[in-house]
Amino acid sequence: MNLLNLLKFEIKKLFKQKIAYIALTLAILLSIIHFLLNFVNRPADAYSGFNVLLDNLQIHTVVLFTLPIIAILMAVWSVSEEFSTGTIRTLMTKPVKRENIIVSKLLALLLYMCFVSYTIMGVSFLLGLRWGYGEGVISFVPSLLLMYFEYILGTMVLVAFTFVVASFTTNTVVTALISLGFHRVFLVLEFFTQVQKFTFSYHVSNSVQLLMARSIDFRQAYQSLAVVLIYILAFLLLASTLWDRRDITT
Amino acid sequence: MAAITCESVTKTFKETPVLHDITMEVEENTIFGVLGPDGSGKTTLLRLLTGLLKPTSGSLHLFDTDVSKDTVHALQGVGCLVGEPAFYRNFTAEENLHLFADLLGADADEVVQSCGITFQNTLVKYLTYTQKKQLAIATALLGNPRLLLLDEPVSNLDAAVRSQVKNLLQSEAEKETTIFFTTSNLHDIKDLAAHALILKEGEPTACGPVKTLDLNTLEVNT
Repeated sequence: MNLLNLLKFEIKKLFKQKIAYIALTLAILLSIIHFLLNFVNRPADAYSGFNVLLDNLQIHTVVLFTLPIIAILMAVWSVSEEFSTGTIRTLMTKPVKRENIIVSKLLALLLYMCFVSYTIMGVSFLLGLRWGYGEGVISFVPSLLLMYFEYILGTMVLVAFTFVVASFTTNTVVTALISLGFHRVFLVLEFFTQVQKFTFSYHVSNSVQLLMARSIDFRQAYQSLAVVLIYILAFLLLASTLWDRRDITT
Repeated sequence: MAAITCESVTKTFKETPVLHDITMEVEENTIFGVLGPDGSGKTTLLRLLTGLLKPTSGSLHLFDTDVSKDTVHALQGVGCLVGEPAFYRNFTAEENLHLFADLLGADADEVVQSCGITFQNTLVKYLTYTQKKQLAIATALLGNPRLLLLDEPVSNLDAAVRSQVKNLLQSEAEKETTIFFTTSNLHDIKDLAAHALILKEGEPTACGPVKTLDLNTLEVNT
């Protein structure tokens, strides 16, 4: 049974859930509110160009704070719900590798987060084109797509970490709180120069800043990307090892 | 070739023994029943056979494949129902079946017919216990498995469905499918099984062809 079948299986389940659409609606609403606030409080002379575009596209607020929460909650639902309802048992009694279950869940959530993020971006972009952005905005789109993808990859670290936590506990609330706490701890660690280079969140921010500067230092960008990917792979490996050894008693 | 082989299987949870020294062999193309009261270790044995649990000691093989070492290979061509039936609540019965059928590359429509499922358009959250169990048996039958591992397949079912499921299992056995099931009801063993294992508090008390076992002396839920 290949990974592609499992991925289709996970995507069907994910997009059937109300929570998936509630999270999407919430993200779009926040993005519209943020746009309106930016528009109402716009500076008299400076309301054009790249910086304004970034402000209105919520790189710093909606994306930075909302997406990780959505990612963690969806990951918690994806795993803990299966354990609490026993559907994981139905799935695991099929000839499926446990590590493939985890990988397919992560990939399904990656696609979902892309869907949510780029929808937010699309909505913001349309609002901006109508009411704010100056000429030449379209040329920023490739950079914006990459920036959002960097943030999405950052949320995948949190998703993989949530899978690790879920291998210890089936309690949905505990899993969500530990994962959210983990995210906050890394945001704090970012402030300490001695350790910031070891945190994934620093490298996500670093990549985004490189893209914003529009004079990309590719060596640094690749380094940051590598660190984020190492985090994802390390947590996935840990989660699949723990899942493989775990007795399924639900 | 034996469909199932258990050698000195023991399982303990936090130093509490749940199964102790189970050794048995289930031949292909037979119906094998495990009889025992609640808490005797029947479901644990099935969880071990499906790789959901790892044995504390001993080994379990499905068609010569060690379940603990290669669960995926061991479960190829094996249909399972373990514990209470669990499905995705926001999907209909048919959508659940198709979900698993697509995963296995099997035909869901075939089992809908053979299992007499008439509630395919009902959301799982609105199904009765009997219907959920029927759906679980249908899911186990996806892909024409050569071995069925079924945990209490006829327990707590409506009388009509109970008889229907028994007929279904007998017709599956006629198609050379090996059936391994658990029950706490002596009548199920008498009606279905050719061979049986009797479990009491995690220990095997008797094993062999049903005709040779003195079932009338057993104190289970008859």
